[in-house]
Amino acid sequence: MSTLKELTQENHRKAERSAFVGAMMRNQLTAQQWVNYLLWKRDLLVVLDRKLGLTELHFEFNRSSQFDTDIVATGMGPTGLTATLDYIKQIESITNEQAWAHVYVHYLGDLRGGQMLKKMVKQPMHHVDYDDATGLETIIRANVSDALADEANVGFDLTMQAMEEIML
Amino acid sequence: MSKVWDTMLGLQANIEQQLNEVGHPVEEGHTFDWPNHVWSSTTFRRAHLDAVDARESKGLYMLHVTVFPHIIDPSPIFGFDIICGERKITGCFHDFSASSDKEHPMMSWFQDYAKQFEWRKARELPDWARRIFSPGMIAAGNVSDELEIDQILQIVSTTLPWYLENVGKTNGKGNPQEILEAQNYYCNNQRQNPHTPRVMQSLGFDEETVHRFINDCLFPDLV
Repeated sequence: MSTLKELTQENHRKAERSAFVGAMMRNQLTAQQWVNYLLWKRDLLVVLDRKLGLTELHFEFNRSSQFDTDIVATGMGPTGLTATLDYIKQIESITNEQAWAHVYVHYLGDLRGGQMLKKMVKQPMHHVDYDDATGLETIIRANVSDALADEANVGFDLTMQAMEEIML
Repeated sequence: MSKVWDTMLGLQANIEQQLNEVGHPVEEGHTFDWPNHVWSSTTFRRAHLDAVDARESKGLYMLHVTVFPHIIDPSPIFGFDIICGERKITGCFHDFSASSDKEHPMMSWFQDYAKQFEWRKARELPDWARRIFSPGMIAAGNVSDELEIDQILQIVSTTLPWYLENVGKTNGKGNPQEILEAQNYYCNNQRQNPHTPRVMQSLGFDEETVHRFINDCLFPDLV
């Protein structure tokens, strides 16, 4: 039987090879693209927190102030994305159990890939700094299962939609 | 220069300064013949200021200011409009209008604050306005008394800093879908205000430009 990681691997790879991630790794994102990404992600995580009460489970789920620090550091105003609204609608339309699939995609992504990106990206990335990464990962893994693969793949699809919009 | 216009230009500069201090300019690519400034920040989604300076051609000056919270924040929408001639304020409207939370603490603050201004309205509002404006909405017309003009200016000098200090504090406290719908509802009703196109056309702008301005820049829908 395949694991959640294996069942989402194809989409994970697609996201890693997207034009957005490529530009991020080469430090070729404009300040406007970067700030739009930060706001998209901030709002998404706030919505997940609201739905699941994440910050009551672990303080590390609360990322707003770190995102705000990174947004202010760009010196730019975010312009907002249609993809944010689409993603929020998806989160609001699913069960709490399913919503953990999106926690898996985003928080675990930042706990792992985010650390690698931080070494390459010149812009401040306080939003991937954690004091208790292990504690956070333990809680996430306790709430996800292989049965969430379909919803996690929806998360990757919506993420790629946002990345494409950012790159327009 | 007239005292009224002098005061208005000072007010415009003051509002721009405040928004520059807390927000970052956003280039939306508008190409209208009058200044349109847009800002955003971590605490608000979109602040917009436009000033139509037709003092020489029409003897009128008009200023619009709106601030919309982020779609994760149920805070009210800030709105301030003023139009004036050389010697008087022809019309002034100001409100903290409800988003998805009609009981939001910022709404209560504004309504308590507005209570002290006895002259503030007592006028029949059209349907589109009753649907979106709060009971504390401030409206004034034909104000030529200097003390009263100063008082109107004092109001927005109090409410805007307070609003900017408090908006964003309830990020994550509301349902984003409801907030989105509430902000669109506000814009949709504002677009039904027949005075806006009438005034702008009287200032010399053609119908197509005015329509595009109201729909794309002044009160644009979120998707």
